[in-house]
Amino acid sequence: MADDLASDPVYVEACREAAWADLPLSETARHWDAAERRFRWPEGWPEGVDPRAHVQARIDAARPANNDSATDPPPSGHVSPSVQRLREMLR
Amino acid sequence: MTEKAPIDAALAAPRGRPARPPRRESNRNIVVPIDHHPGTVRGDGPSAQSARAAMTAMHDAWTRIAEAAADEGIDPPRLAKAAQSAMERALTAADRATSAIDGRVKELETAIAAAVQPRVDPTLAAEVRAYWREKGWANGMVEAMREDVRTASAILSAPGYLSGLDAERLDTMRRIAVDAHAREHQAALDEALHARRKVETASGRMIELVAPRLREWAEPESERLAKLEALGRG
Repeated sequence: MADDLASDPVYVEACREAAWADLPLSETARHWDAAERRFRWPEGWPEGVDPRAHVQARIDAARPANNDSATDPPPSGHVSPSVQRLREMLR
Repeated sequence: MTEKAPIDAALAAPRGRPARPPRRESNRNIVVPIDHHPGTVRGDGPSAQSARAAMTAMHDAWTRIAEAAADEGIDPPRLAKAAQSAMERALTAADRATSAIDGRVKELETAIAAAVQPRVDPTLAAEVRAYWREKGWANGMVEAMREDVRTASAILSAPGYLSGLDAERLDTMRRIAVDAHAREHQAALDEALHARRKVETASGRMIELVAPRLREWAEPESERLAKLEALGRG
């Protein structure tokens, strides 16, 4: 059975895609070319895996569940230095 | 001397490209720079993870602001208010991550110092320095720094001249000792410093690029019209 699967090109390709899709974000980041401002994927990146969707899925997975609060009022009380800087620019 | 007719003079004049009217940029066009993508943070340690979470918050807010801004149907002052709120949340997350990374940087610096400069008996340390001052650094100091942490500690815990080193060579010896005795801590420190730079750069750029738009959007159209009318009257 295992020998049959090993010689099945569809199965082998599916395994290869799964391995690429399971790369951690840090591994993905290594393919970022800052000079050219784009990802340079190495040989073997499977055609069926969209790099953008792959990265976005990873980000979505890392995102806290309840972050749909863009219209909430700004938090009151202590203001962090960057927020302070933003507010000064908006004055 | 005959004077050229105006038409001839115009034709004789060197021709450049006709001046194009300047392109009118919409202030609703927000670009999210891809180099501030969370996927560009290197490493898997705690600092990289903190940075990645903050970068995700910023990237998410930035993208949503861009999407909302692209919708011309949204009232600008309302857009400005919502965008400011989203930015403040993201920037708060960025500052929290920076503080956490700063704490980690201090811990790692302390750990590196402890690994490279453990306590050595002061008399022995003085003898080690005197030995190398007499022998000369080129005669095996590098190997000694790598192999014997007491030698590294004795040399690094005193001014360089006591071991026959100038400031630059003392710094080189420090790097050799760190590489030999605290390589993992140094790698974690490099990762933390990279993560901090990424968060700091992204939050700074977000403020620089988006805040001016918020100002423009926050000004109601009626106010702009009033200013124009006042100019006409004045």
